[in-house]
Amino acid sequence: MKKALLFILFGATLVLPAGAADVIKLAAVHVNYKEGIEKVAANYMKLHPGVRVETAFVASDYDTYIRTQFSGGRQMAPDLYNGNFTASYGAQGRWVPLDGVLRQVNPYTGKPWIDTLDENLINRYKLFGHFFYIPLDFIEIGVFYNKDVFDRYGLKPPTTWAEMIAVCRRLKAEGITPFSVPSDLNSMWVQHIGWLARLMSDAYFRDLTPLLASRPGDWDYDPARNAGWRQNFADPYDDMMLIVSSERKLMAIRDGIIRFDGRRMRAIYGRLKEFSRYWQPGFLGTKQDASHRLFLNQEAAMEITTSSAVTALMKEMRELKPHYRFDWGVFAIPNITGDPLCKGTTRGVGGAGAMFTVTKKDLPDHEKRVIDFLQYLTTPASMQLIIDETLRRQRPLTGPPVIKGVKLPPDLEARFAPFLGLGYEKVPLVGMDNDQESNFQWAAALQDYLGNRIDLDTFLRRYAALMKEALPRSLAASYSDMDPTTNDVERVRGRIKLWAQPVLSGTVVVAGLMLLFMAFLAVGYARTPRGLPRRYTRTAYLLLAPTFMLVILFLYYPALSGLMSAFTRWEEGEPQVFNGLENFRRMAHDPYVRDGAVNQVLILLCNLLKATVVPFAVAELIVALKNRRFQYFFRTAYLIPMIVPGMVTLLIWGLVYDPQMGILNHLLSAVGLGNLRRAWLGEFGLALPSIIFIGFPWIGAFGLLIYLAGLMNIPQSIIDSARMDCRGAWQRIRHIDIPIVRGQTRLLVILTLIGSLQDFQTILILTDGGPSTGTMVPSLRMYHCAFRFSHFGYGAAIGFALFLVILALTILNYRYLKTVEQ
Amino acid sequence: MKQAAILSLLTVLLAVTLIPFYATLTLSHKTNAEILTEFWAWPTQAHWKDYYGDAIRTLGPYMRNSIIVSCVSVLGVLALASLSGYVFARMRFTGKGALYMMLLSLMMIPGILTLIPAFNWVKGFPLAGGNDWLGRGGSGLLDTWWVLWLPYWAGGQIFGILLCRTFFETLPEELFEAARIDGASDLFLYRSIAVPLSLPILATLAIMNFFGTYNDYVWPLVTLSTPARQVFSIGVTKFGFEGNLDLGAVMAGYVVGSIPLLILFGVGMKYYVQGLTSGALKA
Repeated sequence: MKKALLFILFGATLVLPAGAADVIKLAAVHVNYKEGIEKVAANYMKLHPGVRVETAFVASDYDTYIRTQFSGGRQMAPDLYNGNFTASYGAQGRWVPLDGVLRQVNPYTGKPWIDTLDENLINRYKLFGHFFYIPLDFIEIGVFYNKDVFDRYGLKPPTTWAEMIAVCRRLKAEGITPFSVPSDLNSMWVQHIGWLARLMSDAYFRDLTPLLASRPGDWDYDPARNAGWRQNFADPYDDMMLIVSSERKLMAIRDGIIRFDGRRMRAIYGRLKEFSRYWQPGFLGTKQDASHRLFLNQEAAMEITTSSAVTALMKEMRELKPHYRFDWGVFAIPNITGDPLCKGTTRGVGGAGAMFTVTKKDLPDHEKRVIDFLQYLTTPASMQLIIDETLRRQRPLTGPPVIKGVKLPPDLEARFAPFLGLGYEKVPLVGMDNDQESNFQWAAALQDYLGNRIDLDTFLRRYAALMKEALPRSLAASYSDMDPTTNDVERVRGRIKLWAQPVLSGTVVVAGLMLLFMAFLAVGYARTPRGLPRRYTRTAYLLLAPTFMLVILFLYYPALSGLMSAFTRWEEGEPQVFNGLENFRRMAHDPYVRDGAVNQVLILLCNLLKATVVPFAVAELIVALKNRRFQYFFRTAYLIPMIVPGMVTLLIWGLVYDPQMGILNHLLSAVGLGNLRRAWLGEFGLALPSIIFIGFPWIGAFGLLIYLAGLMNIPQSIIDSARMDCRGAWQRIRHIDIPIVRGQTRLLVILTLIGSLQDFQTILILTDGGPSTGTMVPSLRMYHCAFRFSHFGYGAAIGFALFLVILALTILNYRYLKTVEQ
Repeated sequence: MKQAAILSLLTVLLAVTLIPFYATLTLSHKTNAEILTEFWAWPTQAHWKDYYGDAIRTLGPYMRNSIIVSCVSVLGVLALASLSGYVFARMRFTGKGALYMMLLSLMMIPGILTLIPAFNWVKGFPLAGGNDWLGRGGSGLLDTWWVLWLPYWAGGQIFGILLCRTFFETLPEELFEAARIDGASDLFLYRSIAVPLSLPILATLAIMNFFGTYNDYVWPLVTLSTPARQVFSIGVTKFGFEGNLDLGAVMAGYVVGSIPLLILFGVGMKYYVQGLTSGALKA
């Protein structure tokens, strides 16, 4: 023990140069590991007093956080972070390749580093011949089933796909929903159904793997791995070490060897459709939490979800009241048998939950130090500490840890077992790997297909077409020249300037803006019309000076530079390249912008009504109260909903709209309108009205406050004369109140205009624009393009267009109201 | 009779509006399992000690920071917005329309486009945080209070100007005319007529601005790094992540965090009402 400790201390000092205080920045999304990782960091700092480890755990907007820090340059960028959130950084050479150091001795264990890691998993994340990712834990999908229900009907966990369908049929006949599957657009796109489709495509296309393997002469050919390799369908790991050429895969797609409208795809999606008949009603609108709610309430007998549900479900079972509890188990998605097209077995699609990359900062000593810390972090002892700490605090795990030698409590170990040993998919075919846009379009098409808006033929046609469009994008993103003998990424890497400084310093630009603004004022001042005393203008400019100083200093430069990127090609992490009006040309043909615009008009009109009519009516009611105390009470009480966290609102409306457990459908059944029951967020035409209805009765605190202020400030003289002229309240409201709050209404209209056209948060969280394009709006498209597809330039162009539309509408609004007033 | 009808209508509407608030309070005493199975039910046991105790212990410093940030922001925005709002509402000068549009248009640019340029600008802010005059070498305004205050003033005032201008324009011109004839300066008119008569709208602005800065998440997330300086909206997310959190504990955090807001509503409403009953206009 003591010897080991000495070795650790001594070994570490040997590896590292003695230097001044070094700061290692770690940024992770995994808040569940927070305390554990902090403890490990503290231990490391004890070992190395000259090093400071700074940790940041960012639970939401993690990718935004990372991108911003990287844009701030070398010093700001985190040294260790979850690189999979900015996957394109790998090809751009922003990470340190860990190939060599993986084989070297980890000074903290005395063994080669790779020996305590999961080599198969690391291999899965190999990029252009290099290893960048170090995984800590594992996540995989599986089927959770209710053992009590299975026992009641004498059912067993199925071992083949056909058996699974038979189980489903039986349960459905008994009046039980067999499966609960999260299938909203986001779950299709990046989660459950996406994984299921990958898994099926791996099984169906596995016999094509030899065609895609690197051959002698290819730049990444490795005889030790590829020469003499034999495919063995019985072994899920047979091709784990095989090197597959990403360019050969692209070529196979180009040449029609892999067909997205071919027989195999037809079989896969036919099967998926059949399977989907046994999913919960209205599955296209079911998010993960709603799906889990069905399973937990025993409304559905099985649930497709990930290993991260294991610790959560164990905790829930402990917390549930006894009569809710049930026994449960997990089985892997069963094999597809009896289909000559499907040679492979169903393998794992899972991967690392938490994984770290090391940022390349071109400071070799510092990078060495960071790697040293990562080695310390991934020793069995450190990982054990992290896991123990996490479990002690009853925090969830995404799946089993993959650092060798880490022990889990036996019950947990058993629960995780069904997720392990499934192998890894090799050639998944869902969209393009490096092109999120094609994955998104695939998900939208699949929603149309599973939602019975299009048939299988149309779906496959659309799939083939969108992949054809995606191919050039995919080539560009991987810098591919379609020649497998050359390493394209290496060629490109020198070209991309990392840590680029802006051409013009912000100081210069802002000083320029300041001068321009002064010139504008000077010209205006000089051209002051006669009849307007110049000292008026002088005083006004003087009084406005603080406002404009701040605005020019802090708002104009970011705004202009944001808008200017609309005229550039700007892929994430790369420098911007001017490309004129190209983005706008693309926008003119963008079906998502077009469909989104239609939805947006409807949303805007409804929002205008919600923002003006309702608060005005409530304000009138409050003013009509004679009792001052009641007035005061209602004024204050209506403000309270402001403090409700957005999350609660979403939870509530999720519960209102749920097709199976939702209040709305229960109410309809209760009053004998059961035939009106709907999947409110899961049907194409219904999702948008349902989104608009959210927030009922829409009493906005802000609108209420300013209408009240307007109505209560009506001078007594007007009220007195109104009493004489107008008969009844209606007349008074029409002829006096509405005209008198016209200013307030205009203000609310403008603010609603601006807010509605920019806001996409609610939709993003609730439906992500789905089902299909049912709730897409242009601002959400902007967000998707800029942050999900990494086309910043194109996203900025949509933002620019939105800006112009809002500006035009605002000006029109002012003009119109002016004429009305005159 | 009519009063009773109005009263009951308002009560029903209020009850519906307050459902989410009721849910927040009850959720803050429930385990995930309870939330998933009995969302609307009264909690079976209180979680004062674990959820609330945790929240109060860990969120205290964050809330203090948030209150400092938001108070300073509100004071600055009130001063800037009311003054500039007055100028736009009550003074005649050249370029008024253009200048106003130049301010207003800033609200129309989607925030996600300006985030990265804004971040780089505050980092490269000249002569701050070890920077030279070209903004090189240091960390600029990052990780100081100024990085929140200055942009909050700059951004918050625009909404405020819009609001104040709208309200100042509705004040009867005779009030100002009379004072002008007596030789009052514009600053005097602003201070002695416009502001005292606009307390309701200034209170509204204060509430909205405080609320907005108190809940702002992304900007403090990217610009503050010292944990001791971090604000409430960031601190409260440390309770969990994604779908795998103890929702009850998070809710308790939000409930604790909303106490300053509730106090603000009370104080704000006092001034709001004072303005309404000041009587200058009623005469």
